Amino acid sequence: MEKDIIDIVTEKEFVELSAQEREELKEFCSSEEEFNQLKGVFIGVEAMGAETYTPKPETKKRLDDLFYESHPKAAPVWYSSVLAVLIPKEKKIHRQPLMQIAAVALLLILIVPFFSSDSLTADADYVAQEYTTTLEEDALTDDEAPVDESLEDPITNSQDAIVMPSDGVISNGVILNNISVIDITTTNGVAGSGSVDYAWTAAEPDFSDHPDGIFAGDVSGELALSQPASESTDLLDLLTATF
Amino acid sequence: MTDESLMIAVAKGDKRAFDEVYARYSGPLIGYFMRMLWRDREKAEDFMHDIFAKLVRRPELFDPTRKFKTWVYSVANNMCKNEYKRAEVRKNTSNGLDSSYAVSDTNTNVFHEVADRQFKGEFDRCLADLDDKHSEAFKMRHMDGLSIKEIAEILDISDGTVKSRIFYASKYLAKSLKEYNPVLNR
Repeated sequence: MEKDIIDIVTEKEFVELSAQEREELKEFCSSEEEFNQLKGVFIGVEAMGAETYTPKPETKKRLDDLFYESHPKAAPVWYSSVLAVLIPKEKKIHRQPLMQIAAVALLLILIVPFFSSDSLTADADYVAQEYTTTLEEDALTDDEAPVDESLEDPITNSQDAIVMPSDGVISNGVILNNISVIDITTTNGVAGSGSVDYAWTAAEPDFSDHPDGIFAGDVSGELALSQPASESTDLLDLLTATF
Repeated sequence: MTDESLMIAVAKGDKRAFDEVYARYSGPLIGYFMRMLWRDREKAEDFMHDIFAKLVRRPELFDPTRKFKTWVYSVANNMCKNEYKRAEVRKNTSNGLDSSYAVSDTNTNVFHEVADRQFKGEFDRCLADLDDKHSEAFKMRHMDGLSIKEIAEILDISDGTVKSRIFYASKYLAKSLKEYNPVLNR
């Protein structure tokens, strides 16, 4: 509480009053005797002590009921407390935890691809370098040693490769589409190595029942071939009709 | 937290803010009504309840730009004035017995700590002899602990008038209680 003239009267003696204070008090007390009388009353009242009262609990209860009636309490929902923490209404939007979490997540989403693309670029560079080195090494190898072509043949080199029989006869033709490359073999020639019995092909009819397969071959069984369809007009026609 | 910010929270339905305002002002308001309404404890309790009920029902009545303490005391003062008018009407229509003056609180511990009981009795009598406007200002200053500025705001009068009323009451009391001189007796 701020000090006013009554506090000054209570605290000070008449002789201690400043000229301004005396001027202010002049209309209420002109002499020291009057001043002391006033002072006595003020101190006496203060000495009585402040009256303290405790309100009845019933009064508070009535007011509480009235308060809940005027401000109905919302039913507690399990997520209310979570929302109260994440989206406190008293905070500005940029200070709300939910917004801050969202901002961090957005930053991560934007930043992570940059790091990923850097690593991809580095990997691509490394692969390109490796590829170049391999090519150079291959070139050197090609120059140095002739390669047995049969070894590079994906079919003849494979254990599962179809190998022409020793007599060199493919009686009923060649299955295309299912085999990428087949050496052209004549009755007199043998390509590849190893031996696989092609007797099953002879037992089969002249066409394949495989849905994707195109069967082409000499009915007489003397010649079977596999070549690009564009080089064989018959085969091309067959393909065109198929598709 | 200031009274004013608590009242803003009360207007939004904050129960804890209401409890805090109640804890701060319920006791002093009962004391004020006790002094102003013939020491009638029941009436004081009812009036205090009415003030808080007003706060609950219509919190917008309080202007947050104003000081809550002076606002609530001015409301209390107006309630007392209305009660005086009602009492006057009852007095004129009654059989001549003024019931309100007869009521006193037997549970109060007022002045229990002061040794000079005679002085207290005489003080009360002198204060009752004073006219309302002087005793009102005196009580507000010395018993409710309000400053001269706050009293001026509550009563809607100037600071000078408050000072004048308080000193007039003090002078009257000093003259009347001269023989009890509380200072010299201690």
